[in-house]
Amino acid sequence: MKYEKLSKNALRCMYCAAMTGTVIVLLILGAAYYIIPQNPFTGWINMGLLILAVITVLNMFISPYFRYHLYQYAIDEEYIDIVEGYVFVERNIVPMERLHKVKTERGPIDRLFRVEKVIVSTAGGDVRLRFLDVEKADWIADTLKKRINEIAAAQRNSSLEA
Amino acid sequence: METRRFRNHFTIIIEQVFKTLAWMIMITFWALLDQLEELGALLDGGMNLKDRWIYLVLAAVLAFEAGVVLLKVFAWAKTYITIDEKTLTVDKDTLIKKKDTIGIKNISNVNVEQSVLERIFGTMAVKIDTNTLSTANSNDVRIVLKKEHALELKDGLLKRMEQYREDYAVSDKMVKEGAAPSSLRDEEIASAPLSKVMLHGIFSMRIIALAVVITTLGAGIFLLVDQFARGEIGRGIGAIVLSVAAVLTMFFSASWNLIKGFIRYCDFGVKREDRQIFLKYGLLKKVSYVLPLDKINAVKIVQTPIARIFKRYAVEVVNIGLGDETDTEQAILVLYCRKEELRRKMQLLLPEYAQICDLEIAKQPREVWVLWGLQGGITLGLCIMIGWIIGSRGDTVLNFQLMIALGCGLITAVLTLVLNYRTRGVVFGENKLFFTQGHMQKTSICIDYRNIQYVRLHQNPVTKKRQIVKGDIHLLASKLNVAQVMPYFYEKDVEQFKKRLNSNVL
Repeated sequence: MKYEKLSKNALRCMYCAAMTGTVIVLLILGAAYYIIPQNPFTGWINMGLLILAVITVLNMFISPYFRYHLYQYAIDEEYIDIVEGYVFVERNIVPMERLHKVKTERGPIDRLFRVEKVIVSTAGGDVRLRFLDVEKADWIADTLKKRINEIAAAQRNSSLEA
Repeated sequence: METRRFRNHFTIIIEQVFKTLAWMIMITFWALLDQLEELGALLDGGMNLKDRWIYLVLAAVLAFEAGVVLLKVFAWAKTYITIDEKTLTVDKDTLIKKKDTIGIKNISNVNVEQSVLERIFGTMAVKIDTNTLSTANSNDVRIVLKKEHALELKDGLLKRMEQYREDYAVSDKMVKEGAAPSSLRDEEIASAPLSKVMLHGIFSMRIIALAVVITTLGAGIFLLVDQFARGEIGRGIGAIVLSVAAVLTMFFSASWNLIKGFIRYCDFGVKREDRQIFLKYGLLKKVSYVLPLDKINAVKIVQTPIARIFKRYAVEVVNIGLGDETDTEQAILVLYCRKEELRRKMQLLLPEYAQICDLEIAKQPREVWVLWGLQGGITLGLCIMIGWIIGSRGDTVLNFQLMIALGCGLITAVLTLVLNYRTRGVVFGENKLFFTQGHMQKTSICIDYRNIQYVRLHQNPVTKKRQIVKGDIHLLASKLNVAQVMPYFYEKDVEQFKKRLNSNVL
């Protein structure tokens, strides 16, 4: 099974998404700084908020790089296998036979960087292949749709033979 | 079956409104509890002008309830169910026009149930489950009819499904493997003796629920005594009645979870015929289920802490249709019993999964202790730091209390980890996957590989380094059961596991 990596567009998209997230978190932390009333622990709380802000900013620079390099996926005749994460790594294994539906989706940031998600649905939930180049995503979606049809036809034929 | 178009029995409005009304009364009651004095005065007839706001609250509640009733009547009048040769259609023409069409061939289960109100009205609910992911439970249909009409509809649908299965048997392997649905009346299923049901109630008690009941009772009594001591209650008989009612309500609402464990499975009966399991139970709400074997996605042996001490076991099944509502979370197949009885019952009811009874589960890899040690160390460090910050104020009593809390927390954490290690484990069987969950409560799960929809594995830097992994198994099941948490196992077993996922393709 050969694992594939993402394109550079994905890295740019990850940085943009991380920046957006960081701005939101910093706004919340800033609001908390002004909202929390004075109390004996104000100094400690402010220090905690500052530490959180520093970690968030550092995360914005570091996490996309590692997420990009860790992200890999493989699709063969039998499985879809996706490895993603940063500190906590997640691996999704979907047997091809369980696929019900395939669809593609593009968010506003995805559009900016011409990337797309492929969402594969099983009876037990959805699994997402993210940050794929649009052409690649469309090709994967088409291939998976064909594969679903092939499997359905093969199952029907084998039951007829039986 | 000729085309039939009909409405739900009109009593469905009373059923729906009764629930809303009960909620409204509860909310109003709790809102008024703070004003016991005024309410007491109202009951004693000594109410003055400034207490008129109570009337306003009651008027608002009544107006809201009247609005709800009108809406429900409108919805009932505008909702039609149509059943023809191939489809079942629910047509709602209310504020939003909605038409749900379900192919008879996509119906997985037709079950009947009867709540207390339905028993009073002589009606029965026919619950039609579809072959969809249960999280989309809105796709399932509940029709309330007169009892004889409901049973007639159930039989008619089952016959129609049977016809479909025969028609499509040569072209649809999945259906071919499933059994032709048959019908079995509740009277034909032997009921478990009351002693068994009561024992099940005792063994299914959860320690937390028990603790909540005791605490609530204690708090309620304290509240009552305190009010008496302050002389706030003794001003009128109405206030006393209300205070006692408040305490009783608190107690019964907290203990309902325990009580329903005793009464839910009254008249419990289960029988297997061919490839179907017939299930009935209920005292207040009577349910009757038909469970096709091919719709069972996993089997669980559950043991509450009490059951573990007394070596008792109960069996639950994970499937669509049974246990996909909040009030039927546990789809019990075998009531709590001893190991020998469990083996015997599983051989009778589900021999396909009987091996779970005697399975020796391998414990989690020893490497988990490295992770837990590290996590524990970090948590302890954080607790000490927070304690040090709070303790820096120099309050000796507070510092002592913090030390006690920290000590208790530490002991609980270590005990939980030891129990966790002793309880959990995984076995990759030839055709089935087995694993155990929990620490005080133990749940052993058996899943056929072909029922696993997908697997999500998790690793952090420590487990990656130690080459261990844990995961979630995703099934076609209710919200509660859709993801089953698998404990840690060695990373080297992942490839073998992956191969088995596809080796049992339908």
